[in-house]
Amino acid sequence: MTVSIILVVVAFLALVLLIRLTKGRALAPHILENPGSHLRAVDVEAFRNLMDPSEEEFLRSRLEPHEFRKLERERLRAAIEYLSAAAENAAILLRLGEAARRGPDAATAAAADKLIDDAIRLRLYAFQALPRLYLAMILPGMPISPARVADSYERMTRQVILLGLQHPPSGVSSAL
Amino acid sequence: MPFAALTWHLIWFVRVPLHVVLAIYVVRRNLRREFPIFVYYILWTAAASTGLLLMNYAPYVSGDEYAMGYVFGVAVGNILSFGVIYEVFRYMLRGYPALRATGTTLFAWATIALLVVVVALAWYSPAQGEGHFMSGLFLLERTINIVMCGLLLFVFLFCGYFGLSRRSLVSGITLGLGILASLGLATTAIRSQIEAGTRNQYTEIMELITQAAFLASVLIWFAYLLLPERTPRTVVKTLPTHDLETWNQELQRLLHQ
Repeated sequence: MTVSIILVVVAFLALVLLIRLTKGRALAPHILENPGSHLRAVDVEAFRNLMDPSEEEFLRSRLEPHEFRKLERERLRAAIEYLSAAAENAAILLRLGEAARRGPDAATAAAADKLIDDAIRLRLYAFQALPRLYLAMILPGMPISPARVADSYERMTRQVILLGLQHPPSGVSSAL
Repeated sequence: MPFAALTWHLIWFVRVPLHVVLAIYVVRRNLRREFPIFVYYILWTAAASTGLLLMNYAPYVSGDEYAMGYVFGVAVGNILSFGVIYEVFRYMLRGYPALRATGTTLFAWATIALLVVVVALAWYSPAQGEGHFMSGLFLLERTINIVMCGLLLFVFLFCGYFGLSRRSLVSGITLGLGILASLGLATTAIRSQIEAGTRNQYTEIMELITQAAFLASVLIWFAYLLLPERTPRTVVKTLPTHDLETWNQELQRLLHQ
């Protein structure tokens, strides 16, 4: 009977969650009204540096093991920050792309399609990379390779610029 | 007749004709082009509900025949409802080719994970009611409802994470199924454990919840079908159109990297 009671609670929680998800939106409208001010700055070069295996090897060879582990955790924490910011930016740009895609201009729509594609890829990479980064914080030295995220972010930034040249949303590219 | 029994019978009499009208409406609206499995699901559930209502009052239909009809109706309905969930998921991924392969793979893994959970749960907490046949049937329904709830949550969370836009009708279809699956899970979880050999106050209350869930789903599907589709706001239109200086600076910065 305990299992049944748990299942009844789970069922009601699932119902509440489904109703909330049905009514909810991926992003608040005010974010989409002024996306530039909500995008977080991401230093792609710094992120690449944090994820560089040779950099990690260099630190490992120069530092005491406990110092290396401490520093590596700090580096991974910073990488998680960058990655989360990039994924959030991608979510905003995705919605921006959605809006641009519905426009009458074919070139803008094509650029928007490309932006959506890149933003989704970036969120996909982030989805795969974030758990690995958290795991690496627990187990320092574990191999991780989220370099694709940096490439994808740069590709997405270029796409925003292309879209912006056709139909510029204020301050978006400079925020990236 | 106790109040709960009277109420669920009333809901049943209202819900079945509404279900039939809904079936006619989805066919007339030619919804089969976009959501064929959903249309078949509505047609089947409308036919099965009507058939069961008639069988319930037909003097020449025995209790066993009614039970067989119920099992057949529920089995086909559940198979179709899984089809509807997959159909809705595929529809949501339609405008996003980059997500199609990953989405389909994750959907398959989510299904497998849920199946493992429900099999373990069925083994850990088997049917225990006095009415063995009905308890077993409700255990099976509980299992199906857990998988259905899990898959619906997966679909919503997946699409929410990637910020995929969805039509109102898609939300309506999933919400209707969600209500059926979650309230179905609540009732079947209890009935698989305490189902008596004969009807009692508890079974009447469970029937009331089940019929109310069906009625709510039918009304939700009606509402989402009849209400006009919400047009998404075009955000870009409201933004200033003279920011070329910034864009060019950014382009140059990138080109010089």
